[in-house]
Amino acid sequence: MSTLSIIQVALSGLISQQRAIDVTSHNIANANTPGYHRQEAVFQTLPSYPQPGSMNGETKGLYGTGVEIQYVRRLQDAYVQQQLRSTQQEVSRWNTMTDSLQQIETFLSPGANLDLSAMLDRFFGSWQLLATHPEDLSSRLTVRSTAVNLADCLNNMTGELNYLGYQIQSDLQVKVDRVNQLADSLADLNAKIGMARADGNSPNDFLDQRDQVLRELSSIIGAGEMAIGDATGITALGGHPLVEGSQAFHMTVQAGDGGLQLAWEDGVSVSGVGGEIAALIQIHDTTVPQYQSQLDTIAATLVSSVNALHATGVTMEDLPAGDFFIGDTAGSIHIADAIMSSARNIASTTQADAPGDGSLATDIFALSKEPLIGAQTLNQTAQAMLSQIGNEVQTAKMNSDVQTALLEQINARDLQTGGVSIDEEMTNMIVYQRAYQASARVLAMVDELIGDLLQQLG
Amino acid sequence: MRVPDSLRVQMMKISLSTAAERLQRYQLELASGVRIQRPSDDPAGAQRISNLNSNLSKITQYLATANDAIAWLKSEDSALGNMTDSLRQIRDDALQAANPDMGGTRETMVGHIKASVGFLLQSLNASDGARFLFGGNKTQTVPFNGDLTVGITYAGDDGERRVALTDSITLSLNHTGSEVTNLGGISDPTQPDLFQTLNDLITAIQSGDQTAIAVQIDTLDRHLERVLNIRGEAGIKLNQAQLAMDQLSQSRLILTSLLNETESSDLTEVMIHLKEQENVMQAATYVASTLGQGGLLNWLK
Repeated sequence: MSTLSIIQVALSGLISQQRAIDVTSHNIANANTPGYHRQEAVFQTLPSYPQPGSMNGETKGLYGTGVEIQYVRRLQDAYVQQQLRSTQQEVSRWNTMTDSLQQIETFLSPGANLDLSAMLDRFFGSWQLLATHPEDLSSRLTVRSTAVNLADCLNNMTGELNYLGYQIQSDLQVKVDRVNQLADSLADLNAKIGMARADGNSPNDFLDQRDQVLRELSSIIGAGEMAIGDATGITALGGHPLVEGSQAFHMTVQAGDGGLQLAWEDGVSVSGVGGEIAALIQIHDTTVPQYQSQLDTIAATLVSSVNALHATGVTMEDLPAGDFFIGDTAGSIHIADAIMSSARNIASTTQADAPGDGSLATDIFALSKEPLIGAQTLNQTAQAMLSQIGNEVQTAKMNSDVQTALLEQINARDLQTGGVSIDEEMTNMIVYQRAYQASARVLAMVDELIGDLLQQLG
Repeated sequence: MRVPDSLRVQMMKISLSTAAERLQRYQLELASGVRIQRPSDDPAGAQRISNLNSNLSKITQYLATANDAIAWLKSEDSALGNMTDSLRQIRDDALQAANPDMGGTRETMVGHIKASVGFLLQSLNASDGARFLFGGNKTQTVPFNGDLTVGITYAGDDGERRVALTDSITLSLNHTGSEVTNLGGISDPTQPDLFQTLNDLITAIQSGDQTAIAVQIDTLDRHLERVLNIRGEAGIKLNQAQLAMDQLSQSRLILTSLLNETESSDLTEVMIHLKEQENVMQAATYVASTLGQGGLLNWLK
């Protein structure tokens, strides 16, 4: 071994320790970067060589030539990443469900005594009042105003449900745009990773970014059926490629009769959707129409049963009373024009010239006690709707809570493996710093050695 | 187990937000005094509350009806009482006329009777302020018009005034003018109507026909008996209405307390929870404030 080769060994030490300090400082700098996993410089000895001139078979040991950084390792567990993705999609789905259902809950139950059930109570109660005071205009005015409130309530709920539908459509468009963007980023990252690997490097930061992109994709569109390939393979959704190597495939929203549909650019419809988008589609296609149809049933039953009786009656002027309500859905129900122009056109009796007869009003009041929808009264139907939405919100919230707790645990596991610990990094830094100092000392010593030699000889 | 800084921070964040959420829930519950803010807080409870509210509003309406029915029946009772008095007065006068020794000329007696008939008509045209009591469903038209000489006509009808006192009890409140006066023999086909009897009585008194007077007094007794019967019926209905009102008030009381029980929070319990959560919150914020203290960084120069 030559004196000069000691310089090489010491130099390899200097360079490697410095690189390790680089990695450490990169960790510290990224301590708070989302999705970042700590990295570690992996040291490896350089190839050693036998002593020159040694005889064959005469082993005197090999001489080391120093150290190098073999590669920079990313501390990450692929299985945890996959769990993170699948749990994240559940959390996002149930959070979106909860949000939308809570909106429905808010306008179905705007507060004590303001819901549909209370409006129905007041409406029918006013007919009972009319039955007691059939000769009064004031009781008719009460009937009219409670009827207006009831119709308004049904109109408003329909309006809110419609608005929620539109809102979901535009939300969905935003989400799909984001999915397309993410697919582009993923393709881009795949290309960069491929290039780095071709050069023999480990593209740790790109890989972290790729995990982040995949996680957001899972959150938006689901990972249940998403096959996550590696950088050169296919990331597919429901059997159709989303990203293939460095090529991304886009999707579009199509609103058809059967509800909201997603389609790939080649026209094939997107299947295997989860996450936020699945929740939005479910609320739009199933939940909203279901509550709308219940409201419509209540409105249609109310209109037909009240009208059937009211049309047999006479006004305060003893003219045929005609219909009380107009319309056949919750959105279109309103009070007949004749009644809006004068409450005297509300009938309390079927007999002409009998102002004290409230029998028709009694009959209309009695509608509130009749099982008009299935085996249920109008009011019971309204109450059942309230408890149904309550239950749905509760279930969604519970699922969201459970999945969130699970996600927190998995997240903790991910951090346990890959999170940056400042104490740890500081310790490493001291170790590397000291090693660097020691290598420098060796170099100084060799320098002295050569100096001494030159002086003696010179 | 490795506990990197980011893990500690994340756990801290979760603990803080969980503590804040719980604290907020109890604060809201305590401030509003209501246990169920939204149906999803307790779907079954929310439905029960809605149901109780619905029943309460129905009962309140029934109570208003019962009140109105009681007022009506009381007016009817007093009108029928006045009628009874007038009929008794007429009967006394007729008896006096039948017995000339008791003094008073027949003309005076006829005058007395006609005055009593006037009072009788007034009672028959009695109203509860807004509605004529004995006009059937024609509550806005004066039921009886004219007088004995020109003839008395009934402008009402035979309409029933039915009101629902509870879900199961429906009451026919009124008695029509024809029922009270037996117009067209509606109450008793074997008897003439009241005005016929009164006319016949006056004719008998004027002609001094003692036997005829006696016969008419006899018929008058039947009329009196019928009015008394009707008054008795009205009394029974009044009792029914009052009983219904008592029961409704009772139900309202029970429903209100049930509603309170279902809807309101147990303040003591919530207060304890709130205090508990306040402590948790305080502890959590303290722990959060110590994050980052005592790291290796503090010891390195």
